[in-house]
Amino acid sequence: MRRYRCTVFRNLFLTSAALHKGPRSKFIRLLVDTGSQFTVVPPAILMAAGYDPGAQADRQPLVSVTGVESVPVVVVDRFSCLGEVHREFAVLSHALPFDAYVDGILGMDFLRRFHFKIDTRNGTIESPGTGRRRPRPAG
Amino acid sequence: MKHPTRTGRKAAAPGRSTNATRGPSQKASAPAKDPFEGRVLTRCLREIYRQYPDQWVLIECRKVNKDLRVVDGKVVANATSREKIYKRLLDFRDKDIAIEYTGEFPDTIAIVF
Repeated sequence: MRRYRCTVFRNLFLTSAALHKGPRSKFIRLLVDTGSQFTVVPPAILMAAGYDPGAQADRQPLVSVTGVESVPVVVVDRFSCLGEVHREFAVLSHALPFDAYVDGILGMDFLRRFHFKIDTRNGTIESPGTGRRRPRPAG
Repeated sequence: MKHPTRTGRKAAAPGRSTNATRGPSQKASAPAKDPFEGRVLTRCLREIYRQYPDQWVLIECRKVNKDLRVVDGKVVANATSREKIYKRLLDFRDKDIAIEYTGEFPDTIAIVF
């Protein structure tokens, strides 16, 4: 079992993640959000990491508190977070409001894939630490 | 009474007073609040947070730890708005870059996604 401490701001948990392409990485801050089905990364960061959200044919209707819109799905070569690396991880390209103070959202797709447990009292997230680097595709 | 340094506690730096070195008539002041309380910060990030308060910064990373936090890097851009720093981010596609916001969430805003 491995334990990762989150930055805690007024009941919000923040953690670091990395988007990789080739030898280069971009490190960002994500809001841990169990209310989000998918992981969300702003298009500006995806473009800086070497991806092109505008060229994606795959789109996902996104329901948020601000309404419904269709956003590009971008498959990231490698996505690292909380000690785990997910290869070919699909994220939604969507810009959060500019006063959100975080870059994106870590959704349930990543949290469930690696069986993370959130300790809300201590502000930590526990990983079973299976060492499994390539998880099975979601069923 | 054992000396603090023998009980595993860190010795006080020269010029700094501790409870152990104060006279009996001196009241112990409350410990200073950590301005970065609740945050997961490395020594490198603490220094950057002090130098660039309440800003968005881009840090060229030389090394990160297992939490993906920068332990060795230098600031290559800073701005007060996230929009501006995202535009600058495009200038560093060929670098390992970390994005940090050094301020706090304002009390007056509730965040719900």
